[in-house]
Amino acid sequence: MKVDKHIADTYEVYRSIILSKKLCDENPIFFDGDKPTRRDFFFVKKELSKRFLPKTVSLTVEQRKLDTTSFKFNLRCITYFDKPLIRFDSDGPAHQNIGPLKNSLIATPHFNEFDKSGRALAYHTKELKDKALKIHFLDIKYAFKYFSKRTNIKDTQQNQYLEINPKVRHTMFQQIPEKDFLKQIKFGL
Amino acid sequence: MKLIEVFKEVKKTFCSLWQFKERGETLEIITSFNTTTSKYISVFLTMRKDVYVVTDGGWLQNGEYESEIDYEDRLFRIAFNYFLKHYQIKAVEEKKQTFYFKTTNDYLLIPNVVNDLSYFILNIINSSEIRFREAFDQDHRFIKKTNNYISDIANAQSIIQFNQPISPKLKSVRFNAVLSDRAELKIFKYVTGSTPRDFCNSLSKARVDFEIIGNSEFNSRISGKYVMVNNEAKGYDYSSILPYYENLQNHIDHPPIAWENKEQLKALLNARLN
Repeated sequence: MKVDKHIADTYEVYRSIILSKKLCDENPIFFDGDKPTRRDFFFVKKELSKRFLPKTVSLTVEQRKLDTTSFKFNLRCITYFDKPLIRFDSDGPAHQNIGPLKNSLIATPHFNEFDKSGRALAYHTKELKDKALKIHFLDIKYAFKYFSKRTNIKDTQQNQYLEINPKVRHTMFQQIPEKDFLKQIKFGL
Repeated sequence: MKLIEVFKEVKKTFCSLWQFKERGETLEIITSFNTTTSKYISVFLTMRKDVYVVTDGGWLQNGEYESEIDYEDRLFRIAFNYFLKHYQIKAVEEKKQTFYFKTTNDYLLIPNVVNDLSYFILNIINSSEIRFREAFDQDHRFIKKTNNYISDIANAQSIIQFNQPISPKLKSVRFNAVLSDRAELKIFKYVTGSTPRDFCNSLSKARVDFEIIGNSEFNSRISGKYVMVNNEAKGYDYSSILPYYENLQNHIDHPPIAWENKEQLKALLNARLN
């Protein structure tokens, strides 16, 4: 299992970047367009300002166009570390945590963070463990608001937790969730 | 016997890892197979007419497992073809994605198909993580972090492609990053190397590739030619590289940018042709 020494050595700084208040200049945020490296995703990136530390933190949100229940939120501080500091994945492969195999499989939706030793770990919060509440995390608006509460992201005007309106800015188009992402694939049959 | 009880516990643990997620007419099966990148493999079970299809869902190619699959790497390709053939995996390209899959209309053989496809995915991911050459590993890290940096600072309207040629006519002339912003292209070469000789080779290749493009019909579309230098590389020795450095500058728009001065890129990327 990979260990990131930089995080382990500066763990207090790492935690403070995640937990301290970060501000966005608009609320709700919208998608700007396509992800530059993946045209099949909607994408937005916002620079967040932080009151007490000079480092700027960037927030990115991406959502698969063909499956709106598949999205990711990333918080990065590229002057501190080159990988995302905390992530939320609504979909994708389950993560394997270190420790007894029995408890090691953390399926999506899940959060990803680093532990004190600099190891990447995935986890479920109390709400993600709850069978009745888990389904809400496939709704990007619900999941995003939860994420911004957890990572303390507010707006500069009203001091409210940041939310997302999941359509491309200045368009009317709204995605309709598609449950079966393989529906259109024929497999040559 | 006590050890039999232990075995039962082991079997129970492995079985407990297997889960499913309902996705309309498709079922995602989360398997107990785990990669060296700390992910559990998922396969997708669906039906087309009377045929059972088990597929990777496109996750191998689209980067869901976060492994660096470099189909251009000759050594990796040998491993890839070996596993593809051994497990008799089919591939199809639909909706601009590649899906790996196997089919059967025999209910009894579905576990076999799940087995084969899972091991295929697992072996591909794990093989792709092996760095057969240590020097390559260090250069690879520089390439990856530079790619990440450029992705991060590029403006929202750009389309970024990595390790691409500019045109099918000049397929072997590749650039580490190509940014398209409307009709304009900004192209990047990264220079690195774990010995001075490798470093100079990297510089020379960059120079030649920029020269070829400069003399081609595509030159008018290119609004920026940039070089990112890994000045932390083992092979970075200023006196050895100086003649190659000076020669390179005649073919690019801006002096090579050392990694420690990467912020200069931000301003350059936001500049426009005219």
